[in-house]
Amino acid sequence: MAVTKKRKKKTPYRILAATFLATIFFGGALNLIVPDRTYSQEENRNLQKLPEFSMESFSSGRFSQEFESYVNDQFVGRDTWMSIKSRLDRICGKTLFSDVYLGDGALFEEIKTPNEKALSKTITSINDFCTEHADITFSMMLVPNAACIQSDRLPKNAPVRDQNEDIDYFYQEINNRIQKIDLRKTFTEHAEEELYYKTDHHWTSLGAYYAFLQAKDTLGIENAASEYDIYTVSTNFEGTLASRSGIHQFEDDIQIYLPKVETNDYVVEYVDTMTKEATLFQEEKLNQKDQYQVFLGGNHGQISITTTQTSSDVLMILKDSYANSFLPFLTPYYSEIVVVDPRYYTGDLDTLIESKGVDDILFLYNANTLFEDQSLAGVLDYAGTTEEMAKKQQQEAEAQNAADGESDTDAQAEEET
Amino acid sequence: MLFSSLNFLFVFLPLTLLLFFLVPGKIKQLVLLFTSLIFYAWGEPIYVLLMIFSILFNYIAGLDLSAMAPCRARKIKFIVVVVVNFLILGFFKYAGFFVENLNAILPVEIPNPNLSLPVGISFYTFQTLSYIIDVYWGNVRAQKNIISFAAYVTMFPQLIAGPIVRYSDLQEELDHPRKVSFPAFGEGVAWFLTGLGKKVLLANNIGQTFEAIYALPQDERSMMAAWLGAICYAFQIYFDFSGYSDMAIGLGKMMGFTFPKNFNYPYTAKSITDFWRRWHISLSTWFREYVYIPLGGNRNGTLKHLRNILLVWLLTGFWHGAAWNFIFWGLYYGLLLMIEKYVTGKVLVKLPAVFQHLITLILVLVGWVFFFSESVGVAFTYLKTMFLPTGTIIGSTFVYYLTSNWLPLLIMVLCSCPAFYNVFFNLSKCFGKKAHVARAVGYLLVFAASIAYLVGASYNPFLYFRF
Repeated sequence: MAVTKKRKKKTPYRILAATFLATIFFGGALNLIVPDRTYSQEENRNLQKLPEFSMESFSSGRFSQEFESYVNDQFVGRDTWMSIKSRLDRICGKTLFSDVYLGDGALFEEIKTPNEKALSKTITSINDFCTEHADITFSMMLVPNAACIQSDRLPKNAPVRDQNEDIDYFYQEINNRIQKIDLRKTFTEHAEEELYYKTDHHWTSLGAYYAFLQAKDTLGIENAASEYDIYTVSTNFEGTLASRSGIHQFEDDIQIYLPKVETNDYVVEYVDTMTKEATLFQEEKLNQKDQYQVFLGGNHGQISITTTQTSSDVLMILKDSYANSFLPFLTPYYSEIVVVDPRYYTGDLDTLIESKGVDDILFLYNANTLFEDQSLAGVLDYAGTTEEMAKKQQQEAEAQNAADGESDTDAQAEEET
Repeated sequence: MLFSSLNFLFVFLPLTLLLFFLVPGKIKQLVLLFTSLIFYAWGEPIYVLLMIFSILFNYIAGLDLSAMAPCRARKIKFIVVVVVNFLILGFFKYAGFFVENLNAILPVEIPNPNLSLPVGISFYTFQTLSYIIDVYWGNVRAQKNIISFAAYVTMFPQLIAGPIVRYSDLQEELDHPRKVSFPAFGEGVAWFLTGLGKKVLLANNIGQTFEAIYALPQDERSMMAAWLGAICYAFQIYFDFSGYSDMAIGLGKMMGFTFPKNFNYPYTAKSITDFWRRWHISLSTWFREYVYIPLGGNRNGTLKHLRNILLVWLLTGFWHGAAWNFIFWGLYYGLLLMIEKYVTGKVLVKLPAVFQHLITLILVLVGWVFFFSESVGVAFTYLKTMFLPTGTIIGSTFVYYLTSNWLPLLIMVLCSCPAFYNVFFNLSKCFGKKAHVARAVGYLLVFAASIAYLVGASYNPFLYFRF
């Protein structure tokens, strides 16, 4: 295995040696000098900060891991490199970027394969919850994803899962008492229109509008507005699909639909931040990367929308972010809308239902999210447990009191609190 | 730490090179040892202690063996040392496998230790064994300098995934370090960047396609898709592993060490024998030198020859992983080599070259199916799809994966043949006196593209880590 390359002239490699060394040294130095960013708009996440060194964090391997993420996250020109990569990928004929397809005129989120265990748990929890609340009217709106409705715009032959089967299965398995709002027929009729953003995984206000037209009868809404004021609030929206794929050739408009009705006054109360506002829209979010947050300012564990229609029903929505742009269509018809996002909600749902006097419950999810979700089942199962626990404790305490006599009731009472 | 990471390229490597070239000659090996230990501890903070133990143990054993005159006691000592090395490897790599299989046949339940495999243990165990065996045979002098010996075992360029550098290959350069000239360094850079490009641009990308096809449910995988999947894997493992070897060779050159070549265009082989002269050369050499030839090779009659082939290939398979499919894969090659040696060999060479290539490639692809399947059963199901036209023949999935990968596949076919690299060199000659600039630009473009993919990719698993 002696040196075999001797015969080759060695001068050519001088230039390569020099440029390579220059690149790694200057590149390394540049990364050291350029100040770190804490947040990436492009990726919509916090970036790794320089981890602190300790023997303990090193020997557990945590330091190495965090340091590698740090170097990756803080690499100079990260976003530019990313777009070079996706450009090269496209030259090679690639059409799938992370989990995003580059289709005809738009980006499409891949159809997710349901997490079977989680899904069957979700179904059981929904059905149990429904049985336990016989006095409430339930509706389920499962929004199909763009790759299902506009499948003819996907890359040719792309091996995309048929979401219809999953949706059929889901509707079939859930309790018959739940009114199903199956949007597929309506959406397929309007498939040519912009039901979904080209660069984002959400539906547009137009999509939500068609959904409302179909849902209003099921929800028992009478005298629904027949006209809407439509405002285009942004013309340069680049959403999550653009970020995830690194493809920046499309831009979206964001529209807001306001029903033309006599009174549509309400107060939005954000329980997590303890703030109140008179609007569903947070205009300042249009200046940031994720402009979809103009609706409600993003996701919150619990929001209450109290309107002036005091005589109407109270609606609870259990939802993902698709509901954020659906709410503007509902405000005129309920006295209160309680919006719960199980991914961020930690309270007891039964207590909330009781205190608000909820009449109707609407589940609103897009199929990709629900089929992988584990938080809805968690929140539904947890509902009522605190009450039961309190009851049980009380019973136990009473039983104990009876046995122990009256002498130590004070101590018992203290323990319970 | 992976070579193909930004952390290695822009933090570890510049710091290491700076330190290595700043210190005077004699201390260089100490720097190499120190940085290699950090390199290893980076990913395996606990197992670095195991490696240090292995170094000390074999260092002392080497000195001991060389000090003794040939006698029975020396032989016993030698056997003990070899057994201890194998026990360490066996415990960390194979304990789980044996316990699982024993539990399957025994009525009692032995608890599975569930150890994570120390990275590179298969590689450095074989390296220290090469030292011990060669010292025992008197082929090399025992290394008196512990720094030099430790530097040999831990040397970060080849620590994690080879090539398996035998001590005898490096002895000269360890004892008499030469100064690295600037052009020699540049040659190392060329090797390194070639390897980086193979790994990051080719292997990682085609790997995603393989994963996608392999993940398809069996009834959705058409015959052609199954073939495409196997081909993608063949490219993935070749460019992944040979890329890593090239990077190792390049880094070695930058620091004044010559590692043996590990791959020689294996997919251009005309027979299985030829294939194994071109694939993972350092491993086959190791088995040939330390197992096959000591057992007598082909010199003691056909029966013993067959036994030797079978044993070597059983071990080769088992070395690749503690699972039945690797054993099966090894025996498959053992069998093929026997058949080639005693039955078809003479017929094969008379065929037109095209057929020799084709037959070899098909056999190698079948081998890879055993290699990548999680069990032998899964492998046979996959092979059934490949060879029995019972289901869909073409299918839309196949068309999709072919059309969205045709360019990378074409590039990989070209890069599997020596001709392509010759074209690259000849093309650069068109620039006349500027040829070397053109070549450097070519390498740097590969470097830039690799950086783009490293930044953009969350997907950067390294295949040969498992072994």
